[in-house]
Formats: sequence, C-alpha cells, structure tokens
Amino acid sequence: MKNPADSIIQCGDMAFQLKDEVVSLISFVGDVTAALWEGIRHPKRLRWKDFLFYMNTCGPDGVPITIMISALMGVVLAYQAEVQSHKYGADNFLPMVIGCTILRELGPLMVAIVATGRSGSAFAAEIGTMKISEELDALRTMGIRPTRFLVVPKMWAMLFMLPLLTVIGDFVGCAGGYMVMRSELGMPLDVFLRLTRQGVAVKYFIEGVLKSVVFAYIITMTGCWRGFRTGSDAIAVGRSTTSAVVTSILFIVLTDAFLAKLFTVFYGWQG
Amino acid sequence: MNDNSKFKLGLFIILATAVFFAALFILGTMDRFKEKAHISTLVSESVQGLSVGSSVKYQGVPIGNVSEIMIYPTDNVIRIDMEINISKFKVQQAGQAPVTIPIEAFNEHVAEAVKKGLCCRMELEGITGGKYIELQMVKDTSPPEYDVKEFGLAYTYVPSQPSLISDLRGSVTAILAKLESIDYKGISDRTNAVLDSINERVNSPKFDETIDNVNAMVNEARKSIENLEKLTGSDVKDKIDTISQNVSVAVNAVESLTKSVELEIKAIEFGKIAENFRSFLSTAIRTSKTLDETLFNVDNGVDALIELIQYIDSDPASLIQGKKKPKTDADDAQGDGKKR
Amino acid sequence: MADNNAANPAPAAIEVRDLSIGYGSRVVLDNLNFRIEPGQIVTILGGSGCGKSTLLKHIIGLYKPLRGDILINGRSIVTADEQEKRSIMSEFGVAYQGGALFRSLNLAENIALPMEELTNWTRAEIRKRVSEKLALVHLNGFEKYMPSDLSGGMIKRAAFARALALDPKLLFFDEPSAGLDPLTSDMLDKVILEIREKTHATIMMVTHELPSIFRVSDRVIMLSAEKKGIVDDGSPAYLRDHSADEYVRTFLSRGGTYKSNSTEPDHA
Ligand SMILES: Nc1ncnc2c1ncn2[C@@H]1O[C@H](COP(=O)(O)OP(=O)(O)O)[C@@H](O)[C@H]1O
Ligand SMILES: [Mg+2]
Repeated sequence: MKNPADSIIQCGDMAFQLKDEVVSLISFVGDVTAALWEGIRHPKRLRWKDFLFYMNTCGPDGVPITIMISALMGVVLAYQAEVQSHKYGADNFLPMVIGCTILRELGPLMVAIVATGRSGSAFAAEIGTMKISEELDALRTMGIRPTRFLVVPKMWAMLFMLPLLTVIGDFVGCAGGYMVMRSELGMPLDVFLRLTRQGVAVKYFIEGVLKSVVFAYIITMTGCWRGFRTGSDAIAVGRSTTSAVVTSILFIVLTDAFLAKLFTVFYGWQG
Repeated sequence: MNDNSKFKLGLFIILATAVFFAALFILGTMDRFKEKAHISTLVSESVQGLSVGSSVKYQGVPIGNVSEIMIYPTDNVIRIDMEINISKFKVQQAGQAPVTIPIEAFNEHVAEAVKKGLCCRMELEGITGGKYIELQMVKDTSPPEYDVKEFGLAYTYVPSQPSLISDLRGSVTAILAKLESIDYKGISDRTNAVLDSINERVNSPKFDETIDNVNAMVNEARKSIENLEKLTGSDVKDKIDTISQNVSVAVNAVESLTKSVELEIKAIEFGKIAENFRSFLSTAIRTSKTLDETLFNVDNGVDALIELIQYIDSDPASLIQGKKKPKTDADDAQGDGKKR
Repeated sequence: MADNNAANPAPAAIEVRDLSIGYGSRVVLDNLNFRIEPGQIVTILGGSGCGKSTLLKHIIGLYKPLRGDILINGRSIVTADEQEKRSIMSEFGVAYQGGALFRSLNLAENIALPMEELTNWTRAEIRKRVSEKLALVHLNGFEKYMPSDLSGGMIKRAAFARALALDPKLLFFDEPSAGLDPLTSDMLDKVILEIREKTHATIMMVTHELPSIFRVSDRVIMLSAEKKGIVDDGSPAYLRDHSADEYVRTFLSRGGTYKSNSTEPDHA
C-alpha cells in the first residue's frame, strides 16, 4: 500500500464489483420473475414435489421458533410499553399500541427475520452446494433453467407460507401482549379484545400480511441469488449463506421502512 | 413427502387460514355491519388537536368518531362531520331486551334534543393535547355568529359551544384589554404633581390648618394602596375574572384620592402646620414610593398573564395536566412576575 | 467458416480455434487449436489442475472463453444466442467429475430428469429407459436410493448413466472411472465402445486410467500447466513410442508415476 495509486485502483475495483453485483441481482430478479410467470402459464411445468417439500420446510417446520420468538416479542413489547404508559394512566391505550405495533411492524418483521435465518440461509446453502458440486452446470447442460428448477418452487412455497406464518406470529405476539396486560394490570380478556378492536383497524392487519408477501419474495430472491453467486471453494458456501442472511435482512428492513411510508400515504388518500 | 409431513402441512395451512379469517372478523368486519348515523357541527375556533377518527361522546359515553373536518374560509368556519354508532342508543320495552333505535328515530331524537339545548363542545382528551367532541345539554346556549342555514348541511346539525379553552382565552383577553386601558403614567404624573405642589405649599403659613384633613387623606391613601397590594398578592388563578374590577377600583380610588388631595392642598393655610410638616412629608413620599411599586407590580402581573395566555395557546394540554407547575399554574405565574 | 466447409465437406464434431480460457483475468489454457472428427474417442490428458475440466466446461458452453471460438458440428457455441445454444447443448451428454447427481432426487428420478424435462415420452417409456440405462452400469435395483446413500463409485456410474439418458451424439466424461475398481472400470470401457458402435457418438473424456486409454481412445491430447497448452496430440500407442516430449512418453509408458504440479489430489 505504498503507492497511492493502489488504493485508487482498489476503489475502482470495488466500484466495478458493486456494479457487477447490482447488475447480477437485477438480471436475476428478471430471470426469476420470468420463470414465475412461466410457472403461472404452464402450471404443469412447476415442480410440484419440490413445491410441497419447501412448503413443509418453510411453513410447519418453522412454527415452533416463530411462536417462541413472536410470543417473547409480544411480552417484551407489552411490558416495556406498560411500564412507560402506566405512569400516565394510559393503560387503556396499551392494547392498541401492542396491536398496531405487532400487526403492522414487528409481527411481519420478526417472522421474516426468523424465516431469513431458517429458509433464506438454507436456500443459499443448498444452491451454493449445488454450484460447487457442478449440479448447476448439469442442469444447464440439460437445458433446464436453474431458476425455474430451483427458485420457482421455493418462491411459491415462501409466498404462501410466510404470510401464514405471519398470521400465526401476529396472533401469538398479541397473545403474549395480553399475558402481560393480564398479569401486570389484571385486564380481563374481553376488555383487552374490545380495546384492541377499537384501536386496531383491520387494514393494519392486512398491511402486515401484505408486507410479509413482499418479504417472502425478498428472502427467497436474496437467498437464491447468493447461492448462485457462490464462489468455487468450500468456504464459499458459508460465505454466501452469511451474506444471504445479512443482505436479506438489510433489504427487508429497507423495504419495511419504504412500505410503512407507502401505507401511511395510502391511508392518507383513503381519508 | 410422507404422510406425517402431509398432515403437518395441512394442519398448518388450515390453522393459519382460520386465524387469518378470525382476525379479519374480530378486527374489522363486525363494525362494517353496524348502522351509522351522521351529525355535523360548525365551529369558529381552532380545532387544533381534533382529527378524523377522534371520538365523539354523549355525556361521556363514546358513541362514534369524527369522520370529516373541512374549512369554509370565506366564513372562517370549520365544519365537523361525525359518524355515530347508533347501536349505543337503545329503547326499553317492558320485559324485553333493549333494542337499538332505528336511524330515523335517532335523527328525530337529536333534532328534538338540539331544541332543548344539545350542544357539541371540544374537550381535551388525556395527556396528548388531542381532543374529542362531547355532546351535552347546555342551559344557556349562546347563538352562533353565523347563519347555519347558509351552509346547507346534509346531516343533522348540532350547534357548538365554545370550548373551555376558548372561554378562558376570551375572559383573559378582556382583562388584559382593561388593564392596558389604564393610564398608569397619568396617575403617576398626577401624584408627582400633587407632591410638587405640596412641596411648594408647605412653606405657606396656612398649611397648619388643614393638617387634620390631610391626615385623613393619607389614611385613605393607605387603604387604597393596600387594595392594590391585595390585588397583586392575590391568587389570580381563582380570581382571574375579578382582577380587572379590583384594578379599576384601586385605580379609581387612587385617582379620587389624588383629586381630593389636590383640592385640600389648595385650601391649606400653611402657617398652621409647621410642626407637623416633617412627619407629613415623609408619609407623602412613602405613599408615592408605594404607589410606584404597586403600579410596577400590576405591570408585571400583566406580563405574566400574557405569558400564561401564550403558553395555553401553545400547549392546551398543560391546563389539565398540571405537571409543569411553574409555568401553567396561574398562581405561580403571578409569583414569577413578582420575583422579577 | 465458409472456407472451412469448402475444405472439409463434413464439419468436425468439435473444432477449437485460437482458444484461450480461464477464470476472470487468469488464463488457464492459451491458444488451443484442434479438431475432433465425428465418431472419435478422444482422451484429454494432463496433470491435475492443468485445466482439463475447464476445457471441457468451455466446450460444452458453460463458460465464455477469453478468446477464440468453439464450433460444434460447425455451429459456434460461443456466439450462439440463447435458443441456438440450447439446441446445440441438447445434443450433449455430460458426466461431471463429481457426479453432480441432484441430491433431492433419487437415482431413478435423476436419470429420468432429462427425459421428463426435454422429451414428450410417456411415463412408462421413461421408466423403461431408466432401467435400461441403470442396467448398463449395473445399478439396477438401486432406483429408489438417494445419492447420499450411494458410494462414490456408484455415483460416478449413475452420472455416466444419466449422461446417456437421451442417447446424445456428443459425450463428455470427466474422469468417469477415477476411484472405481478395475473391473467396474473395464465395464465402463466396454459400455463406451458399445455406444460408439451403436450411435457413432463422438466422445471426449478426461481420464488417468492408462489401460482404459489404450483400450478405448483413438487419440490423446496432452495438456500441460506450464505450457498452458497442448504438449502433444496423437494416438496413444504412437505417443508412447514416438512423442517428442519425454514427459509424454514417460507418462504413457509408466502411468501413475508422473509428477503432478499440484499438491492436492484433484478428486476425492
Ligand atoms: N470455478 C473456478 N474459478 C476459478 N478458478 C478455477 C475454477 N475451477 C478451476 N479453477 C482453477 O483452474 C485450474 C484448472 O482447474 P481444472 O480444470 O479443474 O483442473 P483439472 O485439469 O484437474 O480438471 C486450477 O488451477 C483451478 O484452481
Ligand atoms: Mg478435473
């Protein structure tokens, strides 16, 4: 690093790498979307067995951890909110605060993050391993589009399963919140339900579920993309798994912020 | 895929879908089927703190929400539409469960009640500065400053009453106007002129004769000054409406005192009061000083009141919250004024 | 291409012109030129890591060469568009070095996959052909086994069977018999010769098994990592006796004792 020109060259390299990544991601998105569309037009060409397999791994298999994380999140959120708002005698606002926060934000977000850790990384590892063992090459020489063969079943599975997981996460999160309300404030269930219904519009619930569909798309897309970008050595799989999780969480949080704003604007139009 | 995982997947999908529809039902659809009535009102004060969705209460019972707020700029009037959940209004029939009244009956009931004095009034809700609308029977309704018919409201019209805040603002503004109209400088100048003329005349031999009269005058002056002191030291919070009266009484007293002192002094035969001269002079000077101080305090009191009004304007919630004592409490505001 | 066709009315099965290949900016093999006639069985030979697999993957169109052109039956696979490339590739059968069986599919499904995806054959027909191919490599009875439950040698044989699934005109085998016992290796050689007999397929393979080379290969192309290119090219027997390069002569006469320029073994 004696030569200052070296660092300039390095910066240039990095810029080119970044450009490569972006171009590759965009063309991957295009590729997958085309393959998804093809799957809609010719449902027979969808790999149903894989689809069912991934439905199982992304859905029911993820329920225990989703329930655990969501319930704890609900409990912690409710507890923190309770401590603060109890000072102001605003106990009756708590079900609304808990409901809105979980249904609109935390529910979809936490479930998506758990799914990233479980499914997104698994996708990256699976495809990365296939790349190293030349299975991807084999697919291509057979004239099979790897995206159709590998990504589409995962994508459909996630698009169906993540919203359902989110619904469960929402439910369990609110239940966790209720437990705190009950134990700390002695709030009966019917009061909690009534206050929740009063403060939480159904559109918030739908907003959360719609968000989770977008998150499912992001998780699958990033996981698979990272898998396809795996290098040629064994460590590369680990690297792409890690970066799948990191990239995917980053994209999820960015998208979440964007969607939050978008929905608020939309509600504004609605009046 | 084996049978076990097929079962798991099926169970998962069925359960999650069930929860989904249950949540939809609990959170939204139930309200969809409820019948809504609408009422409107017009206000000319600021609706800061009121928003679409704010609650509407009838004698404290939540019965609906604000559905629309719009401005008629030419008349400087704000229109508020409210959506009323009429399932809160029941009729009792002997030996039966209460039944929700039909929507026409509700509208009639509201129209009837308006004749008897039903009014809308914005009230502060909780700690946030948010407001809700309270429907209430009011005995002495003040007529609106505009012609309601001109607006051609589609919904049942319920007149509005100025809110507590705007009441309070109105009276405080009136007090301020009165205080401002007092000619402090004139009073002070005249008093000084009196003292000057006293100074002139103490050398006159006729002075002695009127000493008794002057002594009585001085006593009266003291009383007046005490009145002023009472005002400045008093609890403004409780007597905010009587401040202006007190002030004008005190000032009138001072004025009449000054006038009579003048008259008396003109009639003095100064030669007879040589022996009392010194004691009188000192009393007169003290009187003048106290008067100055008093006027200064009144001035400060006015400043504090102005501050209070501005504060209430910027943060109406503080009035009922009572947390930030030094600023919101009228008493302390007065105290602040004194300390400066 | 026109003048080439004028000189040789029948285009070469594989023709490589001024080919330079590598990864990124790194050149693995430079300036290669050779022709493989239809029906030939050619063995690519060379030390481990000299770029044999790399050459194979470039010829079957998985990577773009740094420079030069590759013609398959007279059609360039380098400049072909997506559709033409797919049509060229549909004539390939490839068995990869590590087998590259799909882990999520069992043995029968692996071999059936190209048939399912690329043909309109009925299920019964596919099943019949699958057991035919499995019988060819002595794997019948293992249809329901997952790749993870098979030994390395079995995976190699299954990959070999899968390469034959569609009876392709061009076959590429990357070390098909490495790690197999001599008897199985002999059996594969027999299968290769049979295929050539029946379908006149052109076969290009990488192998280190000397007996196998002498039994089946018409021609050997010797690569070298130091030269980044072809050292010698000819029939195995001729090269063993008359090659100008001593390394080639030693390699072919003594087999496994050649010194490798790579410290790691190429395959498990
Ligand atoms: N995907 C890859 N990316 C970068 N370099 C590679 C890749 N595959 C192989 N190489 C390198 O290219 C050279 C040739 O490899 P390869 O063709 O596999 O050798 P072999 O002749 O043993 O089959 C080796 O040095 C190897 O490290
Ligand atoms: Mg190799």
